[in-house]
This record gives sequence, C-alpha cells and structure tokens, in this order.
Amino acid sequence: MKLNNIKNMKMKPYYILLLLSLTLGGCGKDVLEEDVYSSLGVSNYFKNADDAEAILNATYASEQRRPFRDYFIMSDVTSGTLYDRAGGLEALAKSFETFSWGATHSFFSGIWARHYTTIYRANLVLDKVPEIDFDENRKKQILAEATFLRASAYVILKDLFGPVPIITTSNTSADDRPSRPTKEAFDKFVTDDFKAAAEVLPVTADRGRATKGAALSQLAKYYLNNKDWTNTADYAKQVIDLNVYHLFDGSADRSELFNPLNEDNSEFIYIRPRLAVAGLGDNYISHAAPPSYRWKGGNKENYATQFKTYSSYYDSFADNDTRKNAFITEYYNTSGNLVQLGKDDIRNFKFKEDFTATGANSGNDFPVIRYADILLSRAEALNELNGPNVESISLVNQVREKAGIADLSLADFEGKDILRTAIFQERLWEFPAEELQRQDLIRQGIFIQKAKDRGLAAQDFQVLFPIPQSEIDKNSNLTQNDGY
Amino acid sequence: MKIKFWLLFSLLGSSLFIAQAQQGTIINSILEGQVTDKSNNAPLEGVSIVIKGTTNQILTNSKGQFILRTGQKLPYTLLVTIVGYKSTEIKVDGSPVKIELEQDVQSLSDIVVVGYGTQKRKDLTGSVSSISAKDFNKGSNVSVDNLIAGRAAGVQVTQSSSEPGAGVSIRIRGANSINASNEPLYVIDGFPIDNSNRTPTSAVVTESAPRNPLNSLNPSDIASVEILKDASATAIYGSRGANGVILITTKRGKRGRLSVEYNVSGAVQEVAKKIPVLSTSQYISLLNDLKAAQGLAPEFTDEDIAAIGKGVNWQDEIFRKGYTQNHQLSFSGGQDKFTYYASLNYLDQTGIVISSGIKRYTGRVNLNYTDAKFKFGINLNTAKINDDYVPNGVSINEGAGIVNAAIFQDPTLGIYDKNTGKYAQTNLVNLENPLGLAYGVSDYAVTSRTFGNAFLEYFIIPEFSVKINGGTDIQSSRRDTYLGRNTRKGNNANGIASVQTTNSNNALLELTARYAKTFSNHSLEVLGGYTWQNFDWNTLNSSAQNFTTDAFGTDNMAAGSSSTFTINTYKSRNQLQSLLGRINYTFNDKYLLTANFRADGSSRFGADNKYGYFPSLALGWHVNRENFFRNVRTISTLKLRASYGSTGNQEIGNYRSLVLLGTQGQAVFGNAAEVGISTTQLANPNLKWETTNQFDAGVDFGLLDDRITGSIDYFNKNTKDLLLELPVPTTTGFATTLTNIGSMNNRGFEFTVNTVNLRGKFNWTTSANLSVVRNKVTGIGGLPDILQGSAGFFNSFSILKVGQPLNSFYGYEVVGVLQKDEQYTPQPLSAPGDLKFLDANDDKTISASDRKILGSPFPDFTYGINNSLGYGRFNLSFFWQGVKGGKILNLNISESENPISFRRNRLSRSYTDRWTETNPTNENPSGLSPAFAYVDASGTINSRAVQSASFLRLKNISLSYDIPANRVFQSAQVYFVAQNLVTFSNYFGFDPEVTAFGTSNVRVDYNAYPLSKIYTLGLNVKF
Repeated sequence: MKLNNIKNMKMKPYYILLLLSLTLGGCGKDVLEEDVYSSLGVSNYFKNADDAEAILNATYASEQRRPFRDYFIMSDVTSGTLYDRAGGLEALAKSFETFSWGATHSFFSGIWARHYTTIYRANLVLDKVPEIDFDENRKKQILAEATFLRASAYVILKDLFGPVPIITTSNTSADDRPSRPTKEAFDKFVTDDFKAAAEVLPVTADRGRATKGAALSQLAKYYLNNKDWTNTADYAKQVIDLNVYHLFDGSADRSELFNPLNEDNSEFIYIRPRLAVAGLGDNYISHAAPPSYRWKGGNKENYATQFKTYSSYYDSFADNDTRKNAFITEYYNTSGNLVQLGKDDIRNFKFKEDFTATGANSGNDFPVIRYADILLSRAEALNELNGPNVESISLVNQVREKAGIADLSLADFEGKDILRTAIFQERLWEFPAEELQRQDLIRQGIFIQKAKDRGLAAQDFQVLFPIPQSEIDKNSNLTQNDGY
Repeated sequence: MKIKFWLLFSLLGSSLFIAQAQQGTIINSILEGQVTDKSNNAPLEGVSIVIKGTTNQILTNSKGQFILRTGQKLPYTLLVTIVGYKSTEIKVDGSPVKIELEQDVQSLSDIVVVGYGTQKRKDLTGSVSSISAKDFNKGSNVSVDNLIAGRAAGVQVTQSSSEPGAGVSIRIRGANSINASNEPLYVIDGFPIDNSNRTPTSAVVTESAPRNPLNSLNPSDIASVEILKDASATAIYGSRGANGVILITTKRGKRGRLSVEYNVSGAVQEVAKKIPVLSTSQYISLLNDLKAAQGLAPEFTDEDIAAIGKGVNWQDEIFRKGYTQNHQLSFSGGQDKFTYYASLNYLDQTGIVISSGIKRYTGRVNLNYTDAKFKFGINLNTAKINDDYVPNGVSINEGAGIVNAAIFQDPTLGIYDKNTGKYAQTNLVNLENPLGLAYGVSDYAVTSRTFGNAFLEYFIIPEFSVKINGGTDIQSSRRDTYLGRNTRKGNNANGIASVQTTNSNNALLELTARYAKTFSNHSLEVLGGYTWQNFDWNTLNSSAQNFTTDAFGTDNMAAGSSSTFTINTYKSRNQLQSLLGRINYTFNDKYLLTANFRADGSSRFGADNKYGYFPSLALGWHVNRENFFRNVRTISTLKLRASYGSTGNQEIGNYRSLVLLGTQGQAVFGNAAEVGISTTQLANPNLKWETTNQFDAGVDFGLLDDRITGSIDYFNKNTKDLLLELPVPTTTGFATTLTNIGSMNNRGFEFTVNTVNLRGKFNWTTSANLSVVRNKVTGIGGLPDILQGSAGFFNSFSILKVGQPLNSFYGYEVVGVLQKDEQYTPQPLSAPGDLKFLDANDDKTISASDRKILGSPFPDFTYGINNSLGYGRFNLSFFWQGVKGGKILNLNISESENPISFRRNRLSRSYTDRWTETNPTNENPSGLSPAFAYVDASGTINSRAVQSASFLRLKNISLSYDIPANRVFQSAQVYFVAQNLVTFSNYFGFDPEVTAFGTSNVRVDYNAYPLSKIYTLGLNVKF
C-alpha cells in the first residue's frame, strides 16, 4: 500500500481527531469545575430566613452538643466532691483529682476549640444574617441569640483560662495571631454583648433558646464571679422581676427537678436540651451507674468508668434534705442481688434515669442557669454589700424550703463571713454535677486551700487552667497563664 | 461534550471500515522455514517472521514452521523475533531455511511496559524495576503487592496488617507528602485506577487498615509488574506520578492452540507469634501485690483465686489455624492475528483470628487483535469479594477491637456467664469479651467490581498510529454489621444494625497518537495525547437500634425503634484532564534521550490553579557500545542514565479549595431537633499542586557476558508546596487548613544485582537488592514543629520538624527508675519505683517541653536476597527480606504501662520484673502510679514504647518439581511454599512491619492483626 493512498484516504479523520482533542482541551475550565453535591456553597446560601435559622442552629448545636464530662470533671473533681475510677476516663480525670494537670491535657485543647467554634459560628450569623432580606423582627432576634451564644462561650473560656482573645468576625484567616485582651476590655466586651442581647431577646421562647431572662442571668452570674456585687444584685433582681421563673414545686422531693419527666419547668432559665436520640442525648447516668446496675427503664450503657462521690460530701446533707435523694448507696444488680456501695463510692443519680432511653443517649436536659442560682447569687451579693440581711436570708430559705430543710434565721448570722459560709454551703448542696462547684470555691477563695487540705501539692496559680499548649505553639501572641 | 465523543467514535469507525476494504496482494515469492530453540532443538511456536522493510508478518505454527507467500521479490531479509530469545536477521534466497534462536537470558533485552507504551529495557533512560511472573513471591497471595514485596529496590511494601485481604502501604523512594497520599498510582493494562478504598468502613471499630482495593485483581492473572521510580518514567503520569507508578500487565494469550491451565493450592496459616501478656496467676499476684503496696485489701481473696482456676488466655481463644484454597483455571491461545486469555479464580481464605476471612471470585478476559493496520484489545476483569470481618482496629474501651480486647481483657473473666450462658461481660474492664466480639458481631461486606478497558490503535502508516483507549471501573459495595446481645454494646442498645453502601465509578478516555521511525542511525518515537478521567462516588449509610430480637440482623431494620434510625447520603465527583507528550530519541544505538511532558488539570484545586505542568528529561549512554570499550571484555554491558523532572500530587480529597457549608450538628429546642448549617472548612482558594522535582542518576551494568547484571541508582527528590493540613489557631473557628506550605527531601541509593552462579544441570542464580532512603522535612511554613498522630489513648506522638525525618516519634525519654532514697531533682514528688524522665531542656523540672525526638520511622536500609537453586526438575528458592534501622511505636506498651483501669490485663514485659523494694531494678517501674505527676501519661508517649523495627525474615522458601510431560498434560508442577517461616527481630509485637494507620507514614503498631506463617502446597497442570 502506498503512502499516497493512505494520505488521501485517512488524513481527514485524523485531522478531525486532532481537532477534537484540541476542542476538548479547550473546554477544560468547565470540565474541571467542581460539582458539589452534599454540601452548599456561598453562591447558593445565605439567601432566606431558613438559611439564617440554620446557621443560628449550628451555633446552638456547637454549644448544646458540648461533651458534658470534660468540663464537669474540671469543675467537680477539682472541687473534691467527686472522683473518677476505671475505664478510659480515669487517667484523664486523675490529674484533676491530683492537681497535676499540664498544658497538653486534651481537655484544654478540646474545650478551647469547641468554644471558638461556637464563637466562629455566632460571628458567621452576625456577619451574614444582616444581609439577608426577611422579617426584621426575627432578624434582630437571631442576631441577639447569636450575640448571646458568643458571649456565653466567652464566659466559659474566661472561667477556665482567664481573658482570651476576642474574635468578632467570621472572616478569619490562617494568618490570624490574636492576643489576649486586658481583663477590663474582656469584661466590658462580654457584659456589653449580654446587655445588647437582653434588650432584644424575648421573655419566653422554646426551651433551649436564649431569652431575655437567660441574658440577664448570665450578666448576674458574670458579675457574681467578678465579685461586682452591685451589678450582681441588680441583674439578679431584674431576673426575679421578670416574674416568669419559679422554684420547682412539682414534687416535695427536690431531686425530682432533674427527672426528665419534670424538665419542662419554670426553674430552668437556660438549658442545654437533650433528647433520647442518637447524637442528641446525654450519657451522665452511664458514668454514674455502678457495675451491673439493673436499669429500671430501657437498657443503657454502663461504662467501666465510674463517677464516685465521697461519703463525706454525702454525709454533709441533712437526712431530711430531699436533695440527698439524688444519691444512691445501694442498688440491685442485673442478677437481682442488692449490692451495698462502700465508703466513698456513693453514686450521684442527680440526672435521673430516663426510662425511655436506651444505650448512651438519655434525654436529661442540662441546666446552665436555673432560678435557684439567681436567688442564691442575689443573696450572696446582698450579704457582701450589706452584711446579713433579711432579704438574703429569705432568698436562701426559698431554696431550703423546697429542699425540705429548716429555714435559716437572721439571728443566727452575726457577720458577713458566717452568712457567706452558709450561702456557699447551700450552693454546695444545691449544685453538685452542675459545673458550678469549682467557680464557687474560687469565688469563696478556698479552692486551692481545700485541695491542700486533701494533701495535694496544689498551687495558687491553679485557679486558672493553662492555655492549651497547642494553641500557644500556633500563636506566638498568646501568652500562657502564670505558673504554667 | 458527549455529542463530540460520539462524533469522534463514528468518524473513527467509518475510517476503519474503509481501511478494511484496502486488502489484497499479488504473490511473487514463496519461502518455507522452521524456527527452533538453539539449546534443545525444540520447535518454537508463535515466532514473528517479518520481511525487513515491510509490514508483512506471520507466525510460526506449533511445529515452528512458516510459509511466506508474498509480493516481495527474493532475496530479502527476515526479522525473526519472539520474546525471550535474541532477535535475528537472516538473509534468504528462497531455499527453505532453518533458523535457530538463542535464548535471551539477559533482562536488558526484555520489553518493559512504560507509561502509555512499551520500551526495550536497553533503551530505557528512566529508573524502572520490572518484575515478571517468574520472579513473583510464591505461595498464597491475595493481592498484587504480595507478589512484589521485597523484590524491587526502592520499593517498600508494608502490609498494614496480616488480616486476609488487608490493605497495604507502598512507598517508592521514601515519602514525599505529609497530608496528601504517599501511595503510588496503579495502572492496570494502561488504565489508571482509583485505588482509594471504597468498601464502607467498620461501624464497630475504627479500622486501622481498610482492605486492599486491589483484592479485586487476581494475582494469578498478572504477567508482570513494572515500578516506575524516577521522573523520566513517571512524569508522563504528571499529577499522579510523584509517588511512583506501578504498572500491572495481565497475561495475554500466545499464538497457538488452546492451552488450559489449572492451578490449585491449599495453605495452612498459623499465628507466627503471640504477644506475651500476664498469665492468670501472674495477673492475680500482680494485682494483689499492687494493692498490698498501697496498703489495700487484696483484689483477689484465696476464695476468689480458687474459683477462678486457670482463667482464660484470650489470645489462645481468638487465634486459630487459617486455611486457604485457591483454584485458578485459565484458557489461552490464539491464531495468527488474534490471541485470547481467559481465567476464572476462586479464593477462600480464613484468617488466623476467628471470624475473619475473605472469599473471592474473579473472572478475566483479555482479547488482542494485531495486524499491520490495526491493534485492538479488550481487558476485562470482574470480581466479587465477600469479606468477613472481625472487629479490629485502633479504637479504645467499649469501641476496642478483638486484639486489644484479647490483650487487655481480665483473664479471670470466664468465657461464659454462668447465669445467662451468654459471653461473660464485666464492668470492671471497659472492653468487650473477645469472643463476644467475634461471634456476637456479624460484619460482612460484599463488593462487586468490574473494570476494564478497550483500545483501538490504527496505523495510518506503519510509522504513525492513532489510538483510542476507553476504560471504566465500576464498584459497588455493601457492608452489613449487626451487634447482637452477645456483645455488651449490642446488649445495652438491644441490638445495633448498620448497613452501609458505596458506589463508585471511574471512567477514562484517552486519545493518543504515536510516530516511530528509524532513519539510518536515528531512531525516534513521538507520542502525544489527550486524556480525561472522571471519578464519581456516593454512599448511603443507615443504622437502627433497639430490636426485640437479634434474629433479623440487618435484614429488617424497620424492626428497630424509629427514634434510633439514622440515615446519611453523600455524593462526590472529581475529574482530571490532561495533555501529554513524549519523545524518545536514540542515536547510533548508543545515545538515548527521553523527554516527557504532561499538562494536568485537576478539579480539586483552586480556580486559578487547576493546571499543573510536569516536564522531564532523561539521557542515556551505552558506554559499552563505544569503540574504545570494545576491548573491555569483563564488562559486557554498561549504560549510564540521568534524568530530571517534575511530578505532582493531587491526592487530597475533593472540594478542599472551596468555601463549603454543610450540616454541622443539630440544635434542640423544646423536643425538636433542628439541623444546623455552617462553614465546614477554612477554605483555601489558592490551593495548588504539590510538586516533586527528582534527579536520578543510574548505571546499568553487565559483567562476564552478562552473567552478572545489575543497576545502581542515586536519586534526590525535593517536594515543594506540600499539601499540608496546617494547624491554625482555633480562634479562627477551625483547627487546620489545607495549604501549600513546606517542603521535603528524599534521597538515596538503590542497588540491584542478578548473578548466574552456576549453569547446567545444577544451576544457581541469585538476585539481591538494597535501598537506602534518607528522608527529611525541609520546611513547614515557619512553625517550630507540628505534632501529629492520634491512636488509642495517645496523641501528638509524632513530630514534623525541619531537618528531621517525617513523623519522627516524639515524647519523653525515660532515663531510669527512681530508687529508694534517691533524689531526682526534676521530679521531687515522684515515689520510688516511678519512671525518671530526661530533663531535656535542663530547667530542673519535667514538663511538656521536655519531650524530644525519640527516633525515626525510616529504616537505614532495606534489602532482599533471593537464591534459586535448580537441579534437573527440582527447584529450590529462598527469599530473605530485611530492614535495618528505623523505629516503630508500639502503643500497646504505652497502654499497658498506663492501664486505663486497674483490672485490665497487662503485657508481661515490664510487670514480671517490676521495681519493688526487694527488686530495685532500673529497667521497669513499679506499676503503682500510672498517672505520673509530671507527664500527661494519659496522652503522651515515652521512649519505652519506641522500639527497633529491624528484622530479617525468611519471607519465602519454595520447592518445586516439574513432572515430566505425558499424553495427558503438556507440563505440570508441584510446589511447596512456606512464607514467613523465620524472623529475626528484637521487636516485641506481632510483627515490626505493620502500620496501624494503614497507608500513613506514622509507624505505629496498635492492636495489629498478627502475622501468619503460611504453608502452601500447590499443583499446576497445563493441558
């Protein structure tokens, strides 16, 4: 076959082939555009009211779905009412029991990242929602809710680490190296945010949402921990005067407040709601249950790790104090035998068994702030301002009456110190497992001393936890807390 | 665009039709002849006979005979070629010819498969390791990597685990990348496949290594494996070439009558080594001693001890003998222009851990048609794989797998609960009963995968051809997992069912054109082409809990309670579009030049950085063909090679440059959950290619008439713009962002030598390889270091630091044990028997800043030596594989020395000789205070867990006997193979070669599936 023939016969398709390859090459931009299916892009989002609600939901999700136990251990184990044994958690909890934590402990980096995620998502709401065109009233509320959530995250970070960098934009970059503000600047930022939110937020809303009362309560608590007694008393009063919150009176047994059946009450001011659904539940009870505990309701996880309460704490309750009913000292195991729990092996079943739940997902709501706390905060502030007074005694007694124990009498309190001690003792009985014990002891000024009394080499700087080492490594502008 | 393709197909089709009409010749001459093997005078079938200067080609028949009836006038010259023999040219005048061909023992003349084509080995300028079927590791092999482990210099094959069908990690010349993949590209018969694991991952544990995606390729179908190592060889694969390329060529039919081959083998596997843990009595006395040392009542009273009796050795309970049977039936043959190969294979392997195994069914058809105008071929592979999983992995506590549970479960817990008859469970140890895990969890996956390609090459003129190659790879996989009431987790949730499916689809289109011409002293080959490849995949996962009965398993998930239902779907796509070109030029058969270029576009990168450009240039020089070398008798071959070029890496997952919003948790208001949506990543719109520039210089040599052949290569690779998950301050709302930052260097040497030590009736050949790789991180974007690694209870145990090997181990160095009355200044609070840590920064206290680098995961060198001894019909070969230097982190040691609960069992190491006042050893701590006051013992590691990973292993020893042919069969062979028979190593765990992270570079052994010794007996008959 001669070359000429081939040329004549075949070159044509070859040219077309070449041409086609070039054409295909030319339309490269389109081919390589990424088709996204299971996510959304900026171009098709931030368009309507539903989008605004959804990005707000993600902010709530970050806060509400926070694993309970890290913060809980950091608060209640360090306070010496509780300790943890066995399971995967013991080694992690141990350094809080022994006051030997270091800046690399995974709890610190976890909590830090979690709350800055909340802050980022709140900032995304604050940046994007104003541009979306929908009902102005709801828009203002959404912005106020985001502001509230952002400030709430800062409250937790400050409680653990002291003032931390303030981030107010979602337009963050890998090059950001924010530094820590002064305490004054931080306090002003947080309280301003809550005040702004309180102006807009509604008095009532679905359980779990931020309300005016929640923002005012956060202010009262923030000022309380700052020992700003006037503002504490003032904001606590504002909460009381809203007239929507009451101490739980659904049962003579105060421990029933934490039964999931009773969680729709007017004492919980702001909660992290839980549902008995995979990913949305709570597993406190799986940590508190003793080995082979026979569940009364659905079969649940019973972790090897065990939250154990010291007998000395349990014994400090008056026998007629119904809050004592939250604790168990004996139980029936799966074989039907009654098992006695020994010394320092009391189990706090405060968040009572959710009978409908199975596995590791119980529906117990967690109260972030409840009315009893507001009453006792005002009582404490008024005592600090004025010394023992009728109103403080009356506020404390409101709580004591619900617990079924005798009233205090003003006559028994000769000085500010004595009433202060009584109020803190009341708080110690009222708020176990509510993540408040550490900050209460710090405010009382005995957090470190109590640890030393337990024979630990606790040091004064340990009232703050260290900034996570991994964050210091990534951000040279971040200064470590003293002592670490 | 689809329309354009169809247009192209139809145009191509019609031109082919026209071409078919162009046949017809006039006969001018007839020539008869026969071709035989010079050594034994046996006729050679399928030898190609071509009249020089024409395209007329015929093949010899089964008697080696041929007749040429052509239009060519005599005399003319014949080119006589067949693979495995030296090609010959012979001038003929018309009288019958007898042509004797000499066997070609030198590998240098072999045809080597390279990217988008083939080359003669002697013409290679790049660094290519070629392993043909005869050199494959023998024995029971599930996947292709088993065949080549240890056989090629510079190629480190690490089996992530010894589980049947487990994944494998291959590193070619070290590791280039930190967060992008370091696995090579696999190309099967010219079809680059997506080798990511698409079998759904375990719903029970965090699996350390998913099973090998290449399990769907039957190793018995493989004819050869070529490993492309330097830039000259890999640059044609551009963006996917940086980690090296593994070209797999499957078997073709040979011209001649139908040949039927049946290969059957059976194997027994047994666990090569168990992990020494405390026996029941040691455990009891340790726990009682520890209690006593703290002044507490004994954990076990004499009564308890009597009741416990012998206790349970959990490892004995979960290990068993495994069996493998493998049947391979293949059919092959062909006529003058057409060859075929077809095979069916059945493999059934049970693992050495109870309740694990794999069953595989594969079928393959390879068809090839060749004439002067057309080459056409189809390669089609289909496989069905049934995986039986036993939960095993790196998760902890209630999520721990069977090996972890078998090591750490309380030996005093009986197997069965006396009251319920079910597997006993304990709340003292947060681990499942290992047997409950094996038999209470049903975990199966069925994967169907069909891949193949079809090509048509049209020779417009003999020198110029165009080719279209289309391929597709369709995989669907479904995994069903049910945790029944025989597990603690399943019991607490009243049964947990999960069904996960994935579907993936990969399509390829390649259009290439090739021009090849030899003009006097110049030989030129030019290749150009366009390729497009598309990867789609999607998943559908669902789960349910709270069943009234275990009877349904996963077959009726609606029987669970609806509040526990979860469902999730995902879909993803990425594409590659490329232009490629190559020039091979040879002058005087002495001077070689190869230039490659590829422009690769990937959908994965930022809008302005989609395209990457990857050129390479290589030169070669056959020194021994120079006149001045003629007199050097001892050196029969000497070729120098050098290459330099760029390759890329795009293995980062999809959508990483984009701002994406996705579901981010759910908010609960009242009793309703509402989905939240937020940004899912700190986007990097500038994301671009990671680029590796590699220099390679090599020598190929042959001595003493090529009785000794070999190569030496030096390489130096610099990778820049590393795709790095850069840790960013979490004040940004994110922990990391994928950034092109940092750089890495890998350099080293590779030596390969093959010798024919003895020839004749008793023959002996040796082949050996040795490689040295030095890896170091040369930049990480100005950060002092980056800590990585997370498994079990431990994290941040490996470090990226400039000047140090990638992922060096990082933690505290133990300097001894605090003795009684000893004062160790940095640890004033420590008790006698506690570990003493090195005060690395000399600040008189021990804190996180005293952590230091504890070793490199990279070996000093790796080597393999194979000896093959033949005597008559017997052949004995044994293959040693070794690794010298390098460390591995054993997290089971860390876990054992920091027991998460008192009642867990422990490794006997460090406890049987623990420090006590009466045994004041400096080796092992007292075991009393696992949570050290000074180090975050729960999360960090210390030097006690960083172990030498050196080993020397008799990986393979095989003995075969060729049964003389008879009327029933053409040939037959019986063989016996023992794998992993002997290992010399100081390593504590099952095997120093494992990696708990599957394909990552963090060398960690954590709950590895143990290595097995395998004894295989097989028979191979050819009819």
